[in-house]
Amino acid sequence: MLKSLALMVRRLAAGDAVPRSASALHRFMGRQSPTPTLIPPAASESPALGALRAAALALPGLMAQSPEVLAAPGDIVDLQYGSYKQTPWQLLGGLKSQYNPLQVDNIEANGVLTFSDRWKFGFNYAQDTWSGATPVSSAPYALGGNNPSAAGASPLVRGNGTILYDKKLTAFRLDPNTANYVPDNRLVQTVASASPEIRNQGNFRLGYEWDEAAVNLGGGVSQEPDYNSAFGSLNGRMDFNQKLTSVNLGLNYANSDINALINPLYSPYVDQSYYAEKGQIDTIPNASGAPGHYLTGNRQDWTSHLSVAQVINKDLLLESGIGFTRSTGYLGNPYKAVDMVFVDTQGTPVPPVDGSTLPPLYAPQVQAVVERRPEERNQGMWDMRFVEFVEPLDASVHGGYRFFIDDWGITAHTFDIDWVQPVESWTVTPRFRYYSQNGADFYQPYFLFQGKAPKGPDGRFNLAGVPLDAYSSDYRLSAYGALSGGITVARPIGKAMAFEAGFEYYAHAGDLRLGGAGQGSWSNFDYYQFNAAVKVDLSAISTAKLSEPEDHTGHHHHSGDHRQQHLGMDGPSGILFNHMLADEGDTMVGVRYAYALQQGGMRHGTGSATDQQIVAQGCGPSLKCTFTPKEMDMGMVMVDLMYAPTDWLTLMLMPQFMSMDMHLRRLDGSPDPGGGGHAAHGANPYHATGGVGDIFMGSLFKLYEAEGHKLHFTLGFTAPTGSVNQRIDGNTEFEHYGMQLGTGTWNIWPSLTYNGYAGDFNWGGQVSTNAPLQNHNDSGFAFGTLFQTTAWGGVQIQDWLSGSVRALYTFQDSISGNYPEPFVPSGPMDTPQSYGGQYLDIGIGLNASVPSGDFEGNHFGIEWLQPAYNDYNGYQLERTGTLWASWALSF
Amino acid sequence: MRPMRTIRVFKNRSPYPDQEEIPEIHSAMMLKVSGFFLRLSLLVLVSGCTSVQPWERGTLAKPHMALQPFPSQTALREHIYGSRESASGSTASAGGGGCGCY
Repeated sequence: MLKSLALMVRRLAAGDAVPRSASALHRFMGRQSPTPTLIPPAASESPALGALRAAALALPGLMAQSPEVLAAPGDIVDLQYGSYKQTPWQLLGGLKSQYNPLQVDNIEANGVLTFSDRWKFGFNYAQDTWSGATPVSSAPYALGGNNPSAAGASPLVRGNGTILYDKKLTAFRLDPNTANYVPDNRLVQTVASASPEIRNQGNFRLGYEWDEAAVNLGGGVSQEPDYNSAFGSLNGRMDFNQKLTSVNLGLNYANSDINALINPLYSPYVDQSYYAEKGQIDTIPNASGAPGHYLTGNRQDWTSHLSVAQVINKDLLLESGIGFTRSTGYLGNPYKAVDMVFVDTQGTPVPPVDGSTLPPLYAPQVQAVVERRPEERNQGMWDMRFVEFVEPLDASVHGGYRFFIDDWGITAHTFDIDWVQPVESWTVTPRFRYYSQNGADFYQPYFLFQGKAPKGPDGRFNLAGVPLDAYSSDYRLSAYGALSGGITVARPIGKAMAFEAGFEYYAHAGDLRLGGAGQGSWSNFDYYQFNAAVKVDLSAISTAKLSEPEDHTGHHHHSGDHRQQHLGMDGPSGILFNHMLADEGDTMVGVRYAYALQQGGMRHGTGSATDQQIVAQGCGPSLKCTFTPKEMDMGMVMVDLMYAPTDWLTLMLMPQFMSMDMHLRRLDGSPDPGGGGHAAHGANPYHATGGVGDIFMGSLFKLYEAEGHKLHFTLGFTAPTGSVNQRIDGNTEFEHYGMQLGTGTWNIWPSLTYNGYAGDFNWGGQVSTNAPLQNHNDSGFAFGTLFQTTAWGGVQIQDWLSGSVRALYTFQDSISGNYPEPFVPSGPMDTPQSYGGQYLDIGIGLNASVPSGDFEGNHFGIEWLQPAYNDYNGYQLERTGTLWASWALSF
Repeated sequence: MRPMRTIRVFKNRSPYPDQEEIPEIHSAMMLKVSGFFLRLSLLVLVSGCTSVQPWERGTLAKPHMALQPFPSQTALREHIYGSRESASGSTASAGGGGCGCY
């Protein structure tokens, strides 16, 4: 949604004074158009009318529509990857977290398309995957909370009892070297692992534009295993004063459901009674039979924003706005706890060590509690931006300030400044940002009470007796400042594409708060963030097509569908490398998505497997299996980038992004899981991984071509850019082999492809193999060699639609090598012999290509592959099928 | 030993716990900068009568004069700020965005 808004804002601000056909690419690339001239009035128009038309054309994003079929300016498709990595938390005392620092991968596709003159359609899809260390709470270092105990299930939030307090409530830490207590008031984050998760978000907007106004209606959903959100928005814009002034009003509503498993590592030690009494705790036994506690809730967010953009003079644009957000419901973070520490200084001090000169010291009672925030939050903000042109350098400077205040006691200030500098074909943008906030009223690093802990009639801790109605130790609610800086570079590539990349380094520190006096340095952290994007300007493609010379080689470029067919783009969606580009200088951008599902029973060879068999044989001769998968989903996004330097060679680059999750179950008759593996994290039956996969680089060579027949050879490699070091949630053990994001090895991936055509029919075949070039990767194993052969036939159903049928035979070797010791398999998914097999799949697909009009050359495909015959190596989960979907555009 | 200052001590069972508050500090610099932006925003309000003719709008039409020259990147960064900061959420959450529960 934000994206759509931003696009809208950009269009509003663009104030386009160039004819749309002049250089849409330059326009969206951040470069000056070569000749910013006005469209001359048509001959039949009166001069006054012509001036008006020119004025209208010159103005914010609202081009009068002309009859030519062209994608409108601003129609783009944008693919973006982002990576976020945090620095480790400072745990003091030489402690190092056993978890990797937090890492987030983000992929995103979005586009804006214009339909029938004034209707705009925008879409956005985003996927985030994160894993790593995150603070569950903060506490005195003397509490010893980060020390993992021998049992593995460490009482993270209650520490290991090494803390005492004096009468003035100074903390004393047990010094293991002297066995005596030393004053130590230092604080640390108590770090646990973020449950690795994948978030998917899809949203759209539909807009209608008048000459001096626009309305957008949007909506979407965001899904995570623990958080589902649905949202809608309505935005309007009105232009006044010959479009020198624009007023924007936006209203948004979001409704979110939370259903979060409280980390089984510390759940038994955290008081959940407040939520339990409100009926917000669901207790569901997990795979090993232990109770899993789920914190549930619902929240609603209403947001409104009103802004005015004003052209001040020919070099200066200003915008200012106010916003109000009201949130109600469960507004907490289910993964955060607070430590409440009670020191009874009226009680009996602990007996001093002989000869000690210390004051009387008291042993505190420490109780961890799930954090609680007010169930209402009203937030107001005011912001201000300017864009000023710096003529001598042809640059622009962008600056902004935002003031934020809410009724939780937080006020915040944000300043940012960007310098956008065109340098030849590049645009280079250094930028800085500063952020500062006060802490929330109910934030404390930990909650220290003088007196006895309140107790109920049963003698146990009674949370209702604590005189607080909100408490949180989430460092994001503390007082701090953040300084960040970065650079963005962008440049056009080829006829209608652009590349954009950005980097940012961000430092969060208490001392950086405005005026200082923020949180201590124990909560400081830094992160760096990188992103890269490819953009396709649809309007530039339309323009290029109009100016294309007539059919100079005699066998292409008549109409969209013929072009697609001759390229072989009507082959089934799930076939990689199945066509080349026809002409020198051609480019193709595409996205392919594969979703493979395995669900149901366990299989062995061509038959089914019983739990008893798997327990006895699934984990090798000397070990019994405990767990088995019951569902596995794998999503793969491949970005196809192709370029033809000559007509007999096409170069191809294909980055891949993976997302996987697996649900496990305990095997009937399995031995007790013991202390390691899944048991250590409470036998959480759900795992997820995701992020960058291996990248493919290759060349497609034309071998033979005659009327109706084409043959090409693809030589490609995959580089081990995907991680093979994914670890299980809450544990340091390796994820299951199939849940790793890449192969970890360099692989060779050759294929030979034949395409044939006659009339409305097409057919083809391909053989391919994907073989590792190394015996094992850094994690000690290599996936087996893959061999595939496929044959298909297709028929044109309409001039824009074709159908396909195909057969696919797959052979894959089992994994060679294995994870190094002390890795212990817990089920067949950890056993190298239970990978690979022989499969026969039948596929049915549809392909659509836009034959003419604004979106000529866009190609969409979808295919379902249904397993027809399976012979599994070892013990594997039944294959349900694979769905392929693709979009491509060549130009 | 500085962190102690940031800890409030609650007297048990008292409905009005004693609190050592962190003093509110507003630096002169901040007031100055805020003042600058306040004046800019007043300028917006009073400038409704300005006139920039269509043929004078070539500069404003330059792509790098857009309010957000790199909207996708900006949105991604706002999404991250929204998960790390208390204030950014109010704009980043303009529909969806998920939890950021990490």
